[in-house]
Formats: sequence, C-alpha cells, structure tokens
Amino acid sequence: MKIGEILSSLLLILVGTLFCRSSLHIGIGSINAPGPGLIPFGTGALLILFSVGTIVEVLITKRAEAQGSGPLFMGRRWGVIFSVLISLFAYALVLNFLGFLLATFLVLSLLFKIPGQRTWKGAVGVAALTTACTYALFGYALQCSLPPGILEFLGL
Amino acid sequence: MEIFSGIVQGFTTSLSITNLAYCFVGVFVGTLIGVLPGIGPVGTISLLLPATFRVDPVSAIIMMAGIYYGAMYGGSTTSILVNIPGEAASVITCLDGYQMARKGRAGAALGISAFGSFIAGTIGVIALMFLAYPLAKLALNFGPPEYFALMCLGLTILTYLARGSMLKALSMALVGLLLSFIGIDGITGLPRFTMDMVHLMDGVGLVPIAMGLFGISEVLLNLEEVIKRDIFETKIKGLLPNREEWRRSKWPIVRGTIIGFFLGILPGGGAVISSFISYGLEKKLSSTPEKFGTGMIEGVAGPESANNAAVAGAFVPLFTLGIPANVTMAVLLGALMIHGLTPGPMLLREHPEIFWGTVTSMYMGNVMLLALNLPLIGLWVKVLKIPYGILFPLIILFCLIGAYSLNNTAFDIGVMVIFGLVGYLMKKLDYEGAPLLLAFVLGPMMEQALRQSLLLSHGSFAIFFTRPISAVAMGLAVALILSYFLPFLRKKRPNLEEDNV
Repeated sequence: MKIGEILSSLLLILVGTLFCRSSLHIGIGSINAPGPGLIPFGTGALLILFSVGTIVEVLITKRAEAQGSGPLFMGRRWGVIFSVLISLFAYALVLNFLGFLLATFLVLSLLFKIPGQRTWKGAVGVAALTTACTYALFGYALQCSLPPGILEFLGL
Repeated sequence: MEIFSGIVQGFTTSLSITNLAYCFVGVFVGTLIGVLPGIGPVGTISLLLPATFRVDPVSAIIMMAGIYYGAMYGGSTTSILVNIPGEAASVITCLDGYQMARKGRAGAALGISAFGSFIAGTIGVIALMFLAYPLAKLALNFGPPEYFALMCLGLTILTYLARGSMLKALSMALVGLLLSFIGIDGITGLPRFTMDMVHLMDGVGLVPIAMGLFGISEVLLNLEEVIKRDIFETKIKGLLPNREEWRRSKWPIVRGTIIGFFLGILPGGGAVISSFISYGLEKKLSSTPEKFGTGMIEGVAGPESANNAAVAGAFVPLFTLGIPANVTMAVLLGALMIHGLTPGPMLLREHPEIFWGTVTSMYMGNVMLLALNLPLIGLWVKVLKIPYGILFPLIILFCLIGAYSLNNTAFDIGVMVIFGLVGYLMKKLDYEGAPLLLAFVLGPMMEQALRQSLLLSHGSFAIFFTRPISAVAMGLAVALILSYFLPFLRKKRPNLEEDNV
C-alpha cells in the first residue's frame, strides 16, 4: 500500500499547487490587508507541506502498512464497483433527458442485477416497482420537483 | 428563571402534534439506520435535509436530532445480535454484547443497552439545559481570534484522534478547507476556484459531499464482499435485566454518562471515543478484568450510556458557540444555516424556541426510543435480515434523490458520485473523511475569523496568543501537533481502539 500512499500524497501536492497558483492569480493581498487568495494560498502551501511529510513518513518509518479496508487492487470485486460507479455517472448525465422515471428505472434495473444474485427478469420487476413507489412518495406525496424528461407528454 | 421559562417554552413547542410526529419520524429513521450497517446518521441527515426545506426549522432540527440519537440506540442492536456494529459508536458493544447473546442473555444485553441509553440520554439533556445558558453568555464576549482558535483546536483534536497518520488527517482537513473556499468570496464578492463553472459559483454543496463520503463510499465498500450476517435465531426474551445485572450496571451507567457528556462537548471528541474510554475504564475498575470480552454486562452498560450522553454533550458547542463538535453536528450546523439560522450565542436569544424545542424534544425522543427499541426488537431483527442486494440500490436511490432535490440539478449527483469514489479510495488508503467534512463546514467561518483577526491586529499573529481564551486553545492545538511529531511523546499518543480493545 506504500505506492498507493505515495501516489495519493503526490496527487494532494498537485491539488495544493493548483490552489496556490489560482490564489496568486486572484490576489493574496498582504498580511495587514488580506486579499481573497491569501488564506487559500496558505492552506494550499500547508497541504503541500503535509503531503511531503506523509511521503517522508511512509518512506522512513517502519509502521504497519495502511490498515484501510483492505488491499486496493487484489481479490476485490472491482467489476461490481466499477459497474455501479459507471451506472451512477450515466444516471447523472441522462437524468434531465430521459426524466426521473425512465432513468431511475434503468439504473435500478442495473443496480439490482449487478451483484449477480438476481435474474434480469427479477431485477427489472423489482426496479419497476421501486421506481413507481419512489415516484409516488417523492413526486406526489412530498411534492419534490423531479425532471419529467422525454416522458413529459404523459403529463407526469 | 430564564432556564425554567425556557423549559416551559420548549415543552410547548415540542409537545405540539406536528413536532411530536417529526420527533417520532426522526427517532424511527435513526433507529432504522442505526440497525442497518452501511449508512449512518451523517448520510441520513444529509439525505433528508432537502425534504425539510419547506418545514418549520424547529421541526426540521427536532427530526434531524432524533436521527442522531436514534442511531445510537439502533446501533447497539446489530452489535449485540449480529456482532456487526450498525454505528461506529457501538463497535465496543460487540465485545461483550455479542458474547452475552451467545450465552442466552441477548434480551438482558438489549435491555440494559436501551435503559442505559435512556438514563444517559435524559441526564445528558438536563446537563445540556443547565450548561448552555452560562456558556452562551460567556461566548458573547468572544471575538474572531477566540472563534478561530477554538475551531483550530477542534480540528486539531479530531485529526489527533484520527486512526493512523495524523499528517494524513491534517491533509484531509486542509482539503476540506480548500473545498470550502470554492465559490464567491464573502468579503470581496469575487469568484474563486470556480473554473468558470456556473454550478460552482455558490460553492460545492455540503449534502453531495457528505452523502458521497459517508453514503456512496460505504455502499461501495460493502459491495466488495458478500456480508455474512449470523443472526441469532433463538427467541429473544427477558428484556428486563435481573436484579444482579442492574446492580452491576448502575455505576457503569453513571460513569458512562459523565464521560460521554463531557467528551461529547469537546470538539473532535464524541460518541465513538467516549464509548471506548468508558469500556476501558470499566475494565480497569473491574475486579475481574480478564472476563471482559466474555459477556460482561458492564461492558455493554457503560459504553452504551456514554455514546448517548455524548450526543447531548455535542449539542453544547453547537448551540452556544456555533462550533460543531463532530461531523454529524457539522451537518446539523449546515442544516441550521440553510434554514436561515446562525448557531451561536445569539441563537439562544433570538430563537430560543429552536434551542428549547430541540432540547425538550430529546426527552420525548428518549421515551419514544425506549418504546421503539424494546417491544419492537423483533421488527429490527427482521430489518437485519434484508439482503444487501435489495438494500444497497435503495440506499443509492435515496442518495440520488437527496442530491438532486437540493438544487434540482444533476450536477450535484455528479459531485456526490465523485466524492463517493474519493471516499472509497480514502478508506482504502487510510484517509479519514471526518476531518475533511468538519473542515469543509468550518472553512468559511475560519477564513472570516482569521481575516478579521488579522485586520484587528494589523497583520500580527500574536493576537491569538495574547488573549487568554485563544491563547489556551492555540496552545493546546500546538501542543497536540508537537506531541505527534516528537518521537518520545508519539509513543504515548493514545491509540484508543488498540489500547482499550
């Protein structure tokens, strides 16, 4: 996991650098009269410092490896996690176009199917029922504004 | 007299049918998510936040507070019956609670956990009432340096107590601060770090970040492996502990209440730490410490009382100083601000109904929880048996709707999913989400307080060390950071989980 820790620290250094650069661009003012970029600049600089510190700590100490929730790349159901993430990103992209009902039905069908314990028929059935119940609860009972999308002509 | 008139006002507010209903919904949902591993109070409160926009602020806060302390009650059920803590604060209850269940005393473990929680919760609420007013009066004298120093101390304690490397926890707090700077600058009105995206002009939303870090990431983690739940099929009977069990539990409940309340007040402290310390203390005081972990009722009564008292304690800094003591309180602070309220000493003066209504509703909530947790234990066991394949799409669906309905934009869903992935990777690499979220909420206040302090002092940082309260807070924060970096002291850095378990 040392590689993962070093890579994540390098990423944080990059984030800190980008914030410092943007802070200089918007103006840091002076310590007597702080500008809008002063405190973000200081925060970004500290992030760089602590991330360098983390890399040093990882390299020089013999402390136990990250106790996290297990190894990053070994023996995990990466396919399942990847599929769920892709489904959710796709949902965010198509929600306004397809509308709540259709997009939710599709994403739920996938989510019920992905763990592999249900047939497509079962997953689609449960997804349809869940979508209808959720729409009744949020769309009608709680009066939430849910996008109608291409089903707008149905007056839903 | 102010307190007594406040109590009367509070009960008038909390005993209205509407607020009783919201309180019930809060504690019911709280117990439910406490029972269900995979979603906690932070995710749930964030999830339900948009649904409260059209609700009276008192009712909304009563419901959200109910979710928080309800989760503490519910969390113990899974610890005792399944050996899986529904809540982080119930981790320690697994040790003796589950062993009691294996020995046929599941009923007594659940019973003492519910009664201990009730007693601690009630005493905690009384202490909160009597402590809030004097503290709020004191806080009226606080200026920007005091506020900045106290917020620094809170973040430092949280990072100091974080699992693993303090440097990583500090980095996460800084990332949270940087995220909070995105959007229009409150003083100059200039857009900062928005990358010319219209959606980022108002900043990144608290709800998508919280739901991503604490909801979606948890689901992804649970999806990695098929969770095996070994639930006791034996009939749970005898929920009332016997006389001997009561005798052994009474002092652990008292000690747990005191520890929980005071640790709950401390920024960065809270329910999890107090439950571990209570367990450690009971073990130390016991004449048979070697039996801990084999089904000692003291190991259930103390920690369960501590985590409930800590909830009441955590409300003290939120209501009196406007500083959240932990992540759940940070989300509640965000909720109060969305409802147009500014927590802090002025809240008690300008909106006493919010404080007293919420506090007195906790009495009612504790009574409701006792009724929900003991007679309905069968229902919660059934909930535990719901397969995760059914549960996780529903959790995700509620997160999706919660994120969307905040601003009616799919952009927030994207933000939530990104933070879900970030949170998942953070857990893999041992970065904690709590410092990030707490810093994100405190960020705008910290920035404003720091800029005002620098203006006041004409650019001198000495202002934080020349005023007594800020000097003490800053001194403690610096001492904590130094103690991590000095190798000799570092060996003594408390690793609570390891020391006590």
